[in-house]
Amino acid sequence: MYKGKAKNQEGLCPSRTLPTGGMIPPDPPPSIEGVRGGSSPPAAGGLFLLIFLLILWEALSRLALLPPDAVPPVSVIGEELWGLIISGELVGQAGLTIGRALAGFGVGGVGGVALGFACGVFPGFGRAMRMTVEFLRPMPSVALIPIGILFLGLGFGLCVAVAGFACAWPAYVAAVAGAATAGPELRDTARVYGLRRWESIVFVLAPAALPQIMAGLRTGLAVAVAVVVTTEMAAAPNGLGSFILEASMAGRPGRMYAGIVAVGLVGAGLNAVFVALRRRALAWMPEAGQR
Amino acid sequence: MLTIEGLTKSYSQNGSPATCALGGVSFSVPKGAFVSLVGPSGCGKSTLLQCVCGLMRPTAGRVTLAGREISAPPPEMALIFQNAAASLFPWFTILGNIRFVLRRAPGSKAQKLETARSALAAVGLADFAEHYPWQLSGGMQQRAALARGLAYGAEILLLDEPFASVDAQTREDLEDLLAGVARQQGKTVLFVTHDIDEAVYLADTVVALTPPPAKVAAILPIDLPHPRDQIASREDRRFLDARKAIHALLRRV
Amino acid sequence: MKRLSGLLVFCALAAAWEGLSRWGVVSRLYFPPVSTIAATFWDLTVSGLLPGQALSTVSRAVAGLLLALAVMAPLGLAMGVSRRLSALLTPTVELLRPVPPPAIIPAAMLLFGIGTGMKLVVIVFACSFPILVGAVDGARSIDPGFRLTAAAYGLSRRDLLFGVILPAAGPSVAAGFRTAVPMALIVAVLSEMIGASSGIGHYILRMQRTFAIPEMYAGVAMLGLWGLALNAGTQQVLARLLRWHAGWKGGI
Repeated sequence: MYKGKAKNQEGLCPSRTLPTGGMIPPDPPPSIEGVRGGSSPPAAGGLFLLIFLLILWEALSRLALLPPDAVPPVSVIGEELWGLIISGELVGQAGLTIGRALAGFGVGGVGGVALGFACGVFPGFGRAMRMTVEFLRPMPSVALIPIGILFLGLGFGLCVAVAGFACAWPAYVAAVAGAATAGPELRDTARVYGLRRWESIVFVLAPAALPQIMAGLRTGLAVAVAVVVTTEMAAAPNGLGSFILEASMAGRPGRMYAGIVAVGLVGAGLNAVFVALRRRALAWMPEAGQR
Repeated sequence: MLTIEGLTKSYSQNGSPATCALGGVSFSVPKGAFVSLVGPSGCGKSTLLQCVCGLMRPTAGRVTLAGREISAPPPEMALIFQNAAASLFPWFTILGNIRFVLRRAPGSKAQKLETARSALAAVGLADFAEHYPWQLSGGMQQRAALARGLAYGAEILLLDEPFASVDAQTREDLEDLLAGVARQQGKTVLFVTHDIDEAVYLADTVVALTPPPAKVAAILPIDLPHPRDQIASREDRRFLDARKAIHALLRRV
Repeated sequence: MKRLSGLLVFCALAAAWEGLSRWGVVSRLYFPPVSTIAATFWDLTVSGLLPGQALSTVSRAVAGLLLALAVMAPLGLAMGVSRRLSALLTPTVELLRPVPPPAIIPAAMLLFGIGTGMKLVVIVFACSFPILVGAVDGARSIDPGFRLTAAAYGLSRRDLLFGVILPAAGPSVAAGFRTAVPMALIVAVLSEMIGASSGIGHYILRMQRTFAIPEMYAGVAMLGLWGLALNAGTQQVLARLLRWHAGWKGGI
């Protein structure tokens, strides 16, 4: 909460005033519940439904109405998960995946933001890059895995390269749009008060772009995790993706589901950390960077 | 002395015939004077102001300040926009906004901080230095924008309908604040508005513009004693006469 | 001239690749000259091999997309309108949402084998969440004034749905759908790489393994073109549907 005595209803909040027009996937709300309603806790009914579904799963599997060799009971998966965590096996695999995802995210995020922001700020540069970018951007990242294998072999470098490529584009699109966020009044203010071009870029255009860039990076982070898992499945000797696929091939569905749960936890955890960091970076915004 | 000579601005959109916003505007603003620029809405007042402070290149004519032609925003001028909320940097606090525009100013950090704080005190926002713009009301945001212009140390303040989007009560307070501060600090003011009453109430001289392409319709000296008072001045015979004259003028053209 | 700068840069990059490869600066095996790739691409396209492979992939992706749209858009709108439904389903949705879609491919393989069914399931799963979130968001962000107006004029529920909720939530659903399009293609290709004997994904990987490098690049290029076409097509259709919406410009 803020301490101001007066509140301005039409206060400037770039992320709200800018019509994104669907250019970037509008920042997925932190959760489906609570975008607008805010604090209302998910009603007990929702949890009951979830528990009911899990029990149903357990029962169907135990009664062999679901093939138990493909869908083991929930309790078995839970046991397996616990055992793998205790033994450290899953933690090690998850560490590999997280490291690769973060490295890819770092490379791709920085590259995408830099390229997009430069394209947005310098229209000539943007025009020159546009065709090349529009050719590369829709390329499904997985299609690059085979090419990557040629140059980088299997493992860390490959995962970082493919994930970096994939998560650069959400960051790029957000940065292009973000660079246009600062209104004419802000740009003119900087000029009237005699600030240099570079100062205007660093202190006016860049902060104005930040909310959008953060939204793009958040999408990019989710993409990076997904693509690393993908790449590990297609071409890596280890990591959670490889772990899941091997378990599946070896006919050990309990292990496989434990791996899937771990991937979900990794994705959710990284997202939570990023959202917390974003909240700090956008502390100047109303509602601390939330939409 | 700020002189505007034959200022013309036409916009041409590729292909279509050029629209002419300013059709040769000439007047001058003596040092220390308060000049109101009034005209029907859409007559190019904002365009004029942007040309005056060097944000925009006029198609023809020129603006000179003490004989020097203006081609880029000079340090002697500060422009205050109609929409304060859109011209205050939302990522800086109010104090941060002021310190930011002082980056290029001479003096030590401590001196600049002192300047910023005294400007905030002058507009009555001393207690709100660490607030972000969106935490303030519309009127307070406009005060903050004014404080930023004052702190910059420019001798000329250009104001583009600064009080158009605040409620009537706040508006009167802001008018008196501006008039007081400008007199006290000896600022030269060019004040653009579409409100005839406001123009007359504040100014030493009112420049009335015609509809586009805008020309000067009349230049009226306002012979009202300072400091002015929201009730007494507005009932003064001379206020009413000036108001009536400008109304007639703008209706005729 | 200004307009051509983009084309110029693109051609310069292609020419640089060609040169580097021809003069042996980079490995000619791994980086065959662009002209060789283009020739291969042309041959494989004329022979019908590449278009055929790509078509089976893309048709699966599109089918999955439409299936997800048909199920998730109504569900999301309902969740956006009804707080009770939203409270009921949210925990389950939030539990599934962080799972990267590729991770469920092995599970789907165990359950459904490696046929088309498995691929469809995975594609639908991948596309569901962006569309669902878009629909929930869209229905929830409808200005309450619209609904009050509809109530004040005594509109039926049907008119409320088709006259107010659908149009008002349209842009948000569309944005979610657009996010889902590339995902559908990626997952379709991936599911072929992991478990299939047909499709462009399988083809590219097989060419790489047999060191038919120009063929591999040709496959990647074909996939890129389809990606471009799918995105552009979606944009066209959505722009038509949302003509009336001022904020919707379709993006870059």
